[in-house]
Amino acid sequence: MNKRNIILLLTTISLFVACEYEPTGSNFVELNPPEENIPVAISLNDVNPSDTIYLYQNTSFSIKTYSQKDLLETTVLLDDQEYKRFFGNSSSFNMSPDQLSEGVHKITVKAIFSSGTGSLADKMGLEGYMGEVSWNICVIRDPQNYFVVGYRINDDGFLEISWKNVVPESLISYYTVHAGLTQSSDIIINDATQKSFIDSGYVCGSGYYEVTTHFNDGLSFIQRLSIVKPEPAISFEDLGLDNLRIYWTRPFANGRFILREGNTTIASGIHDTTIIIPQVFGQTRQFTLETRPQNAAYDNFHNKFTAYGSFRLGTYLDLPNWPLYAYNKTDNIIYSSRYDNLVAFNATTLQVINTVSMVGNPWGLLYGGKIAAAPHNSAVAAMTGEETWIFTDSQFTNPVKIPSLRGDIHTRLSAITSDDRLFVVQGGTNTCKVFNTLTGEKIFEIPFTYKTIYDIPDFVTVSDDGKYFCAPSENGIEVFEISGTTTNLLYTDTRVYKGGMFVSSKPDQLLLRVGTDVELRQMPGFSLIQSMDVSTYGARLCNIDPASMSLLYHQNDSLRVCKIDDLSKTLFKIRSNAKDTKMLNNKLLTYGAGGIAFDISPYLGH
Amino acid sequence: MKKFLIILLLYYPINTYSQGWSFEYSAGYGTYKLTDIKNLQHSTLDNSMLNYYGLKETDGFPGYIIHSVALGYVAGSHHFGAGFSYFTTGGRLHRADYSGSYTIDMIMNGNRLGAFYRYNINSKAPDLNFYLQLGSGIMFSNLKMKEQVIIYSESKVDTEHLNGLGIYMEPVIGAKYCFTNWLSFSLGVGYEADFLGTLKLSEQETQLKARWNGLRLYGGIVFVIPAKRKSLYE
Repeated sequence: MNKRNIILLLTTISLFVACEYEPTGSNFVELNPPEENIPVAISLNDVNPSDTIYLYQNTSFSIKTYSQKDLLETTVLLDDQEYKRFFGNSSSFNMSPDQLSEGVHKITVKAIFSSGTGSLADKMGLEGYMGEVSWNICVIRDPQNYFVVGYRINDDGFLEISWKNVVPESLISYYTVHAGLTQSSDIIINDATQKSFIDSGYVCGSGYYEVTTHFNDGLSFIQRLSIVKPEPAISFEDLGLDNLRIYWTRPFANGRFILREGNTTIASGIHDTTIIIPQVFGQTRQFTLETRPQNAAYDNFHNKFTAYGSFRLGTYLDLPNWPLYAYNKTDNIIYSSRYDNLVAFNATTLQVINTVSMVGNPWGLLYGGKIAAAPHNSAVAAMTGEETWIFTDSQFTNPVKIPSLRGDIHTRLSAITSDDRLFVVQGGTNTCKVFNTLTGEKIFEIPFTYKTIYDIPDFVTVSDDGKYFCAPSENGIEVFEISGTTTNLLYTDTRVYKGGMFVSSKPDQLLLRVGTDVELRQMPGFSLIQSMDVSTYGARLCNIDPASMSLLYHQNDSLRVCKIDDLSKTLFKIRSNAKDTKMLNNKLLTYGAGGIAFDISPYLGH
Repeated sequence: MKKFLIILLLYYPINTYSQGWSFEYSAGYGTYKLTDIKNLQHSTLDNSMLNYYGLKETDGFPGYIIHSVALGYVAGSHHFGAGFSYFTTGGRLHRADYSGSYTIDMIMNGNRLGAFYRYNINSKAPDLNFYLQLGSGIMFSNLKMKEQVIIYSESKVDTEHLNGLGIYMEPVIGAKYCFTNWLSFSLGVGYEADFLGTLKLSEQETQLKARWNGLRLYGGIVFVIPAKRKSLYE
């Protein structure tokens, strides 16, 4: 083939190729184009877009879309960055607080729906509708750390437990409050907006609370609160001879109070923290304050608080058992016993001047005994369970001992006179033994007819100067005049006597409690000086104070003091059941109760 | 080739037919079996995605015009030479709506190059001859697959080309009417059978074979450049 033919062939081929077959035919489908807009709804866990989603734990999110068209694709954007993408209808995902920084983020759900026209663009996903909704999502990694429980006293005075949550109430189902010490059962609060609980069962002391937040999704966390507040303590205010004020500290929350003295309820269910009660002398008053919730329905074992307090009017001498007293006006000393000791007090200050041990076998001065002194003689005699010791003064040196002269509670008389004699009448006898206090020698005896059966009060008595001796009893009386070692019966009768005593410093005057009267008789004629009718309330003679020449006696519910020369005029009166109280140097001294001394001098002037 | 033609001319007896070089152009019509290609179109249509898109076959490799040229030498009753033929057909999968269109056009081109031998038989009519022809050669096939998607204003086109080489054999029977001693008009009908023809995509063989088997109808004009008339036996 030459070149010309080749060119001809190629040209022919080119012409032929230019005639390449062109496929024909069209398959056009008539369809209606889609509407411009359609209604679309997008929901994320059914949360309103205007609300904030709180992410505080691993949370499953479910996207729901509502449209008449088919859902093609769902995209979740977190702070405008793609976070998840779903195709089809299944679109749920989990989020953890740890995946995000704490704070508010924006989460957007974008959904794409088909146009539903069936067009090529529709089928290729290039034609459809898109809708998007955004929520604020607040990330809280550890919401329990923001769950704070506190307390306060509300305006009504009750304890209010309150709490704060960082999550909104809409996420909270209910609260439970466990108050084991104050409530009988757990409290369930179904109103999530109620973030407090008034515990009417709490007053003071320990309170323990567990507040639990229960979320709608089942999560719960607990916060504990312990409260310790002081319990009321009792205090006293001496308001004088008539009244005593008892008050106590107000508890942290409202309470009700029950005040008892011993087993006697003074006040029950009061709300005040103070109360005024009658003053009483002669005992250490034991008070018990019980504090409980104001509403008794909340009473339980734990919210009952008991405070104790004691009060006594006067000075406590710390004299155990049943102390006896003797007084020496010259030396201004009061003698008493403390266990085995003979003790000398300054009669003004009541400070201990001296003490001496008088241990016996087995009794000594420990139990009972008897102490004798004289207003105008410094000698003091202590009758122990085995013998009698006589000291010349409060120095307690070189005692004169009288063996076998025992003293006890039944000893009717133990008295020293100005002429250095010791008069002793043992219990159950009708003989008065007289000893020389300087030698211990028994000098003589005075037999008498009427012995009393009573240990208290004083019946048998001798005058300070030792010139008169009187033995009254419930069966009668004998009054003797003493001259040396001989006696002369001055007077006798058979009236019913309930006590008798010679007037100190006035040895020729005899005070008697007889029948319905108190009589003051003049020796030696036994003539009546004055008389006081005590038929209404009776009277119990206590003693005559050598210092003030005042008579102390007990009548009805009170101790009364009057001048010996005017029995009808009460100088001092105080409520007391201490019927055996003595009055020495204007001080009331109890028999028993540990020895309570109350100086009435300030009151005698009024 | 030249030697072969010389030997052929030396040993074939030359009758009274004219002799000389011939150039023939024929236009015709051919049908194409192209089984694999049609199957490819059908299987493409069966593809779930395309089926989803709603494509339908709108054109399926119909018979189409053939262009042929041949150069030969006429020596009495014998006519032999070489020829080139161009076949083209195609198929279409299509879907269109308001949003756009999806078109997959499969255009099959065949370039056939081969030799032929034609034996002319005289008829009673002085200018009319019949002939028998047998041709064979190689067939270059090209399948162009053009996929075009237009959605609204967006358009995307992908085109793939598969090429193959096969051999063919084509017996033809026809008639030729001579207007002059240098110009004839011929009509012929034949059948082409193809062999081999595996298509390759990027030099990788595929399962597809381009076999253009089918009926061939030709009608053309033949130019003959007469040669000096002499006897071979002189």
